[in-house]
Amino acid sequence: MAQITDHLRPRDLQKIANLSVLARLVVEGFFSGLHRSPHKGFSVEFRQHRPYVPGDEIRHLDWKVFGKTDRFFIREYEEETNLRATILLDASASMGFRNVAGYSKHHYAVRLAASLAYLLFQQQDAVGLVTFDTKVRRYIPPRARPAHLRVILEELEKNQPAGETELGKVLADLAPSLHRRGLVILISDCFTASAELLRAMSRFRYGKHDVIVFQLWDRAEIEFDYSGWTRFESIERPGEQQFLDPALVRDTYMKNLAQFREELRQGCAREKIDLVPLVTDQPYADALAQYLSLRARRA
Amino acid sequence: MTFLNLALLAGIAAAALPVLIHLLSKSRPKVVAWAAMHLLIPAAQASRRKLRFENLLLLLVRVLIPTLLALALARPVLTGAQAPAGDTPIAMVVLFDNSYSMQAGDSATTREKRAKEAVATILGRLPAGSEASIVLMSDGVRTLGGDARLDFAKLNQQLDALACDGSGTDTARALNVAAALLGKTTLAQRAVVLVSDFQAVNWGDTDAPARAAAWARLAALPVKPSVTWVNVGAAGSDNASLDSVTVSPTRVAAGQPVTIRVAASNAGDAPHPDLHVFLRVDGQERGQTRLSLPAGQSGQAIFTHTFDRPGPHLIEASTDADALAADNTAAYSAEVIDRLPVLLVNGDPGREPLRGETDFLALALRPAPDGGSLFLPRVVDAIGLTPRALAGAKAVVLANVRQLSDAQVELLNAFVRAGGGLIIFPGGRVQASWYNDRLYENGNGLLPATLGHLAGSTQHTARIAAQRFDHPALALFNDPRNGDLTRAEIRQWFTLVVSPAQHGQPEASVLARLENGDPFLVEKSLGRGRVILAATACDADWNSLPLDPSYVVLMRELTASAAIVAPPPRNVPAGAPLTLTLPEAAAGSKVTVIDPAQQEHEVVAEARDGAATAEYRGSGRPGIYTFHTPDESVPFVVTAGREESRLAAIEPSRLDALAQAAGAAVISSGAAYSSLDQARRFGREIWRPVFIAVVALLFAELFLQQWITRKRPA
Repeated sequence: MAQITDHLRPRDLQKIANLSVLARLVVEGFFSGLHRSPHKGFSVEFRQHRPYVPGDEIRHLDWKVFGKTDRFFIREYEEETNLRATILLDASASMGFRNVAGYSKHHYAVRLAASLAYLLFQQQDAVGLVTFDTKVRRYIPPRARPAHLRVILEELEKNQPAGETELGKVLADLAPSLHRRGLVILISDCFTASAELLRAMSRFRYGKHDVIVFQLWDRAEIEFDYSGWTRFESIERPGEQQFLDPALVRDTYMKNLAQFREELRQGCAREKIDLVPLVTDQPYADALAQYLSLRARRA
Repeated sequence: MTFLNLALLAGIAAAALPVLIHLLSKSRPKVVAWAAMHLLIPAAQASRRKLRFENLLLLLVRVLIPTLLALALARPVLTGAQAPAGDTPIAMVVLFDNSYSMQAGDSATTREKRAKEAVATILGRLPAGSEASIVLMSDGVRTLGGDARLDFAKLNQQLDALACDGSGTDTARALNVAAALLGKTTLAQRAVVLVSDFQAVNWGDTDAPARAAAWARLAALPVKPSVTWVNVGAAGSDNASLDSVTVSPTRVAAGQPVTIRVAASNAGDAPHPDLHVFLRVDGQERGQTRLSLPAGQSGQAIFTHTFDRPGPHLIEASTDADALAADNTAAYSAEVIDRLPVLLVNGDPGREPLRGETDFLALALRPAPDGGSLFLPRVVDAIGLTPRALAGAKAVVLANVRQLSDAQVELLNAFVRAGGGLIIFPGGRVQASWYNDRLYENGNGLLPATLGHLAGSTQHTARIAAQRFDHPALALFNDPRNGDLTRAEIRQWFTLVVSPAQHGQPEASVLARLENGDPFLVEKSLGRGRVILAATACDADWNSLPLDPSYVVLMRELTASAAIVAPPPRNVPAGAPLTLTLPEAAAGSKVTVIDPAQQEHEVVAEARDGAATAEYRGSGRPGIYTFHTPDESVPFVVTAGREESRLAAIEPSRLDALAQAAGAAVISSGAAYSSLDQARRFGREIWRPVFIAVVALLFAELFLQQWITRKRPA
């Protein structure tokens, strides 16, 4: 069945400059495609059981406990303290890579971050944003106030990719400053040594954070479908270049790529980090779905 | 290595294309700003060495494809490689010695037979698709039945029918013909086979440079042909030959006895002590004699004969000397004429013997005691020169005649223009001004030159200048045995002034001069006759000529040459045209010529200079040709040299040296050719394997490209 998300592909949305409009479009389009959202009420948290007293709403009865003990208990909820989510946006130059016709990974990352932030705010969660390249550029601590969303979107809008990636070091620096446990959302191409990255990630895990990594790929990077003699010039390190016939190195490249992704996947699995590889022509909704399933597991 | 289509080799330049494309594609690369360098760099490094090798391999294959294609199209021939046995067609030129020495041999076989067998064997074993030509080396080199022939059976038939009767061989010319023939062929295998008896006389040093040049030309062909000499010669050289028949005097009248000399020689190394020579005239046996010829010597058999009637006669001599029949005969065609009435006009008769102006002349022309003379002289004085006296005369001699009447001048004019001969000798009584006025007539009259002043005295004498005479009347004196004109003293003479002929006037020519350069004899043609003017008298008053033995010969020859319009020669060397003069009325009629092979040819008589001439130009072959007209049969003898009679073969060591110089292998039979040919067949055409290589390379290129850019599942 056709869904509205089918029409919300990044290609179609790239002309929408206003992030808040875009984020709303993405998130609401996403939800409108779901029937009877199973995720409703995530922001309430179970506190305790108490014995049933007449007048209590029957729908709050815990039937499982009744089944076990033959007594009526009421599930008691408390209004959830806001989830603290921090979006780590990789703004290094490598994120600026774009294939010939499209838009860059950074472009995608910004829109994805905006959509996520919007979604989180919708759910009354606190959202923070960290942009970084070799070091942290901007740190916006998580807040749940609706006005905070505008701050984040403004920051995202003016963000431009530059500098090298030193993901491991930046994350390692960042980990101590996130005191309260929460959700860490990393949006990056992860173009750094996977071991270093995983070590940094493990520190977040150590701080009891949930970590979800959206790893962004351009289709050109995973298919390497170039032909004819080509000079590949490094975006991050000017002067570094490779002059070659892509057809001839493709084989080895693909092997290296597969190995890199596999390392990362295994490492993340070990650390119980959710790794979500995304290709920049995938709908943002895919990322949102991934996020929501993660939240479901946490619940 | 050489190429049959050298021009197509230029296609190799196309080999530069892949390299150019490669360089061009590298010179304008695409530029991509790339992020995932950490994936690309190790990949590039890891595959760089392998890549370079694979790339080079691919480039090499791509360069090889156009190169080999151009090579294949140029049809390369490996000159150094042995050809595969039996299947490669050959372009062969057989140089066949068809000179008459090939007839030599014994009862069992002859050189000719062995040569023909050898050729048949060689042609019979040529691979399918071969072509062969047979070039005949003798009597004007020609190709037997066209240039390149594929029908060997027919070629063999033609060769079988060929008679080996040529004289002399022209090896150099035959080789040039062979080179031209081989230059035209498209077959890669080429062979020259020379079949001959290798007589020493044909391989002398004089034409060695021409032969060497011809061999060099052959060797310089794009594909050098293999050269084989088939020596069908035999050791024996015993051969006696009749070389020529001559008749003297050359102008002979019916009833006049003549001497017939038959020259014979023994070219062999064994003596012929008892050589029979037979003489036949007009097919009738007329005599025989014996000659003793030691080895290497020549001799003459001499016969006398009197022809009984005027007209053409054929004299044939033959001998039973040996098996080589071709040189055992010789012939001569003689034209016997009727006796010539000559009118001698005596301008200064003498009372004593030999004092008259024409006395010596009449003696010179008088029949000899045996009755053998060409002339019937009759002496008259100046008044006696009448139409009646002139009737039937063939020549008139004016000897010191003072002057003539106008009627007599008219008479003489008509006589000469009708074909008569006039000889004028001046003397003391001659009135020079009348001669110059009435007889010269500004070049239109009878006199070929004007009479100038009188020269000479008893102290101041002159002699006839020694020279080589071209005129037939004097040609006899080129041989000193026939007399010496230069001995006589000329004491007095008229200086003859020869003026250049005006337009339309007959040209006068000086036949002989005195030592001081003054003309001695001047001749001109007038109508169909001719006039000869001498500078001095014909008696002993002005000179000592009559006292010299040469006088008789000179007078007879002069008179005869004035009286007779000599027919074109009937004894000619091979190749010269045979010309028969007929009466003017015969123009347009057909004359049948029968050649020595008894083949009939027809020629048409053409009108020329007031007569009709029938000319036959196919006299390449020596022997007797007979012209048949409705009135008579005229034999012509085409003579040939007798070099071929010297059967002696080249010394084996010299033959080897010659063969080595020509790069030839010498064999003695056709059977030996096959095995020899197998052993040395060089020149293998290799376009087929090269083309297969191109196709293989095309597949290799496709495969390589696929392999290098293969996609493995990531």
